[in-house]
Amino acid sequence: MYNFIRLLKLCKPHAGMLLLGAFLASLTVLANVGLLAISGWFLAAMAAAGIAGVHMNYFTPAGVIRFLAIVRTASRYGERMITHNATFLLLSEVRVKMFATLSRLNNVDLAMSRSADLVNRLQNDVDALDKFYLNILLPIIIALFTIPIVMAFMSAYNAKVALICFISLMIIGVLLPVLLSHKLHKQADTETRLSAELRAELADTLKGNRELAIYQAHDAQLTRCDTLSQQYNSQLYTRHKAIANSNGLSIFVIQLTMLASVFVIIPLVATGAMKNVELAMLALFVLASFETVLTLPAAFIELPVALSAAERLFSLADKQTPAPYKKHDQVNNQHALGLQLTNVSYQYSGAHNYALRDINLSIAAGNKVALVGASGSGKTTLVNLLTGLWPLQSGSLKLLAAEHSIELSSLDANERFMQLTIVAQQHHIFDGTLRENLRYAAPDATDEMLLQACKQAELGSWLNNLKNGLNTRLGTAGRKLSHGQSRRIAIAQALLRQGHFVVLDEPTESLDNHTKHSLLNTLEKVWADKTVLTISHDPVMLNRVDKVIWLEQGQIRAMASHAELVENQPDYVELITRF
Amino acid sequence: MTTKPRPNRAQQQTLRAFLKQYSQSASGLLKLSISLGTLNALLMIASCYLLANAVHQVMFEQASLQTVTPLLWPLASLIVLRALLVALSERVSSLAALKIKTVMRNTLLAKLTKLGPAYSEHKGYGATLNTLHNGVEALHQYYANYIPSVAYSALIPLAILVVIFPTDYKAGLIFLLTAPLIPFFMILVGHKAEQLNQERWQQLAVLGNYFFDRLQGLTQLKLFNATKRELNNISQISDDYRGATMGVLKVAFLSSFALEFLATISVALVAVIIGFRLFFGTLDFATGFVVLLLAPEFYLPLRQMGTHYHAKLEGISAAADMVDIINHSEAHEHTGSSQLSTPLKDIHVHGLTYHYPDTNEGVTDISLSLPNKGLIAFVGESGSGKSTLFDCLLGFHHQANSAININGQALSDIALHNWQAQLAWIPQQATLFYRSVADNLRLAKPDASHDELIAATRKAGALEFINALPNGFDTMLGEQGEGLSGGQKQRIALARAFLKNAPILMLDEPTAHLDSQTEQLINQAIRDYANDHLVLVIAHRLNTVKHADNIYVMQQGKIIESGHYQQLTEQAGLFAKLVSRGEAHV
Repeated sequence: MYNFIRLLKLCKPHAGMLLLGAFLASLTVLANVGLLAISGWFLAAMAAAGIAGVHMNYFTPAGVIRFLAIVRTASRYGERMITHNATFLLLSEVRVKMFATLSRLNNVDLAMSRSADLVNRLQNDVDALDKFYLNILLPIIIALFTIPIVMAFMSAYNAKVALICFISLMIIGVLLPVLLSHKLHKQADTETRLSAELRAELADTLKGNRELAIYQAHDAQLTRCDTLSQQYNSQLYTRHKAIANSNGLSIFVIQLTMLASVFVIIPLVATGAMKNVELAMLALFVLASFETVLTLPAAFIELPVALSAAERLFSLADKQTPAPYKKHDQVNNQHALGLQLTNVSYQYSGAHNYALRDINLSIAAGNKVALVGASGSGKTTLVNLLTGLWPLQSGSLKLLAAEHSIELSSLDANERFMQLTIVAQQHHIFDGTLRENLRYAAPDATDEMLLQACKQAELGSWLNNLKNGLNTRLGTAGRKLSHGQSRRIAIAQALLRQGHFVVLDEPTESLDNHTKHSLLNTLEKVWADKTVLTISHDPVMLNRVDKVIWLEQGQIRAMASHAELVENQPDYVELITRF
Repeated sequence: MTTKPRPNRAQQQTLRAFLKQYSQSASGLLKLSISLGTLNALLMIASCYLLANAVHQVMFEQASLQTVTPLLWPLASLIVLRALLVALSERVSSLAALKIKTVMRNTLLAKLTKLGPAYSEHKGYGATLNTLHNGVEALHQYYANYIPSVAYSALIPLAILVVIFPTDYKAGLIFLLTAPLIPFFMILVGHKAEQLNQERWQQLAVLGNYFFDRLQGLTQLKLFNATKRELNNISQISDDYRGATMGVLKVAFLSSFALEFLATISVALVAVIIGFRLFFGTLDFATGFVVLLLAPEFYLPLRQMGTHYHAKLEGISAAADMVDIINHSEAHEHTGSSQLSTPLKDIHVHGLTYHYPDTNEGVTDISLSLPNKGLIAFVGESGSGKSTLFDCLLGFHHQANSAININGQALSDIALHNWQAQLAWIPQQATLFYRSVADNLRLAKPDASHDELIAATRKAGALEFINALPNGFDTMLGEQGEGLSGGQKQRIALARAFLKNAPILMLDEPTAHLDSQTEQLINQAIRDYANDHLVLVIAHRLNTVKHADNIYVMQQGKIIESGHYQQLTEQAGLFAKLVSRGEAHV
């Protein structure tokens, strides 16, 4: 309930539009009910008048019928326009709020480092909330608004019929859907698990194609897939069965209600307590009254899904503790920055081992340093800590300016990323043009600056071959990039930024020798007065830096020049030699 | 949601035909479901008659409850029957859909297995996996809802017409005249509306993708200090799309507006005309009331078909990917079936050439002789043809089989499984299947005893960490061995290969930098294995080539150098250049 109210609060800015949509939708429903009931009455009255041979004013009801028909269609159109517009407004509201929340959380709270499926889950959750108004809120408002009106009219004719009808409305609109939703909810976990298992098995079959052939295990694997697929299907079947049953039951209740009303009214008509034409009218009226709860079942089925999505999203928002106002340091620095780590350790939650353990190192301002190590040795963690998006667990991490040193954590994000230029390992190419991608790094850069950066990052000839130049679309729906190209776009972005401490991840990967040398020459020139920390295993690169830091299993194994390491450490040569 | 373009009308025709063809396996069930649904409609018509007659008798013939009870009791039983029929019909149609999905998935998997690894590598694992998983699921709505709704839209109005005409042909005429208007209007506005509807779905998808794309790149936006700016972008773009989409909807809804208007006006028209005929006494009330009751039911199936529009499109677009897989032609069938003579003596490759379709990539004129034991390394830059050569030796490129001779027999004459039984294979990133450690190992030898597992894992240096896992050999490995380090996965794959104890072990050394302890351990194990087996390795590490008995150096699909480490380094060729990268710049 609490989450439902929070969701409603989210709707508040667009309440006017939402209510207008609900009003029009209710009008459609009422016109529909009225149309059927009046048609029934009209027919009966005309027949009665015909038989009795009396005159009857048929212009008014015929007019009303035509009027209601038009109202129904017109309000339906208006309703669909308004409600869809409202849905979009709300959708944008939810997304902006979500994004604002996520951008304020640090990456540990987001658990971004570990689970790639966070984004998938968020996607499902936001998708579920997209339909909150249209599929949940709207049907509830319609029912709340129209049921009393319909009941009032019906009870004016016969209270008993109205009561029966009301009970049935509740069965169809609330009881059945709640039971169904409960049942489906119970199944949902098994369903999700089986679906994930099937997906994993299918993925294995595709990825392990060669191994399955060599180990002659294809048939067994296909049987496994088939078994799992059938298991998943039979699980789905319980869901479909429940829905089919509920649909059958709905017909049963609706028709039976109509029959019961007829049973109640017939004696009244027979004794003359009720006018005969009202029998035809009420029979149709009862049938039509179920329009008021037509969309309600779907609402109750989706409600738990939306609520649990909302709960997850709100709990993310709640993680964000409003930090007590803290005076943030200013760097006021126009020169290269040094770096000092003292006793830095880091352990990911749930991990057995330390990702970093008691790291002590310092990098002097203006130095060029390389970081090497096997996968899992702690390179990425070190860069993560430098970004400040992963809060430090122990030890201290200081930036060294000309006269003073500053704890990284005392800088706010703005100041931090003014000073640091970081190309992360999971570099993301956004869905958008090349220009838009580059502008994320430098919003005010001119096209000349962008082209210059591309040229410096050795993307010049690639760019020249692009028909649309900077307007070339990249990302999921755009041009496919090779790994090397996307790394170089990252370098171009880094070149556009002004930070005084630069961190790069494998900048020379998949470059030929000639290009590699000219890229390194350019970078040396452009960043001559900056401090540069590079993750690299490329001997060409390592040969050019002042110092190599060699990490192994979260600790510093050695810290020396490339030449010294090659001289004294056979393991080091083995590490950096790959072909 | 995808941004993939929907198939156009012409393509939709063929895809619908494809989907129809695949419904054969459950056509009985589908027909049953549709029959049950149609029977429900017939009972519905009958119950309208019962109700109308009862009401008529009470209203105009002063009948009491007792007099009409013989009409109302059958009505009650019809209601029960109809409820059962509706539930049953829906159950059967979803059962049919489930059956078709299972058949479809099996067919796709069998075909993919036949096509070999190259197809899904070319298409991308992700895309192929989506077709197999979500794509097949997307067919459910198509078969369970859309197909029956098409049948109902033809059958139910027809049934109503057939019943109405004998009772009152004039009312029948009204139906008959208004009915074609609906399909007519549907076609008229449908063309435009379908196009618009597609646009609308695509725009929604674009909007969704934009948001989730930025969410995926959130860390990067933070690094660029760009989150505040992006927030404005998101709200701006949402607003723009709202404008654009509403413009589309304005027209798209117009088509359903026209439809609804027509249906509503038709019902109203029927009501008014019948009213007047009742007034002038040319029609009895019971018939008039039946017509009024049936009027909405007459138009309902046509309108319902519209609500399954999206199910139809989803199904059809999913089908496009499936057709692509099923109609993909296999380049070469392997027909050899003779028994390979064992034990392995030697392998001769002579003039082996294989190029991927439509590219220049591949291997050209490879000739080499391999002994029956020893460590043979293959090196070269990426794209030099090492993997292709290995795929040929593994028997995955059937065209190349005639160039490979084993013990004097051409591979093209040998039964493929017979040859593959002689091989063990470890790729760069070994596939650990979604099952226990023991079952992963037993993939190589289903009847291996526990002692054999222990021996193989000890040899591969994996026993210690497997025993340290929460459930030891029974620990379930998640997707791609989640929870294990790269080195550990590699050692399990190695143990699996050792378990098979195949005469030939082929492996693609991991390029990833494993910790030096693991690297040494794996190296030693492989060298030991090479003492009495043949080991072919795509080498990426210095240590491996130093210990190799022979090294083949590849460039642009050809073997350009071969020899020992010592010989090759002295030659000052490509190999010397590759190896010296690490040390030369001292």
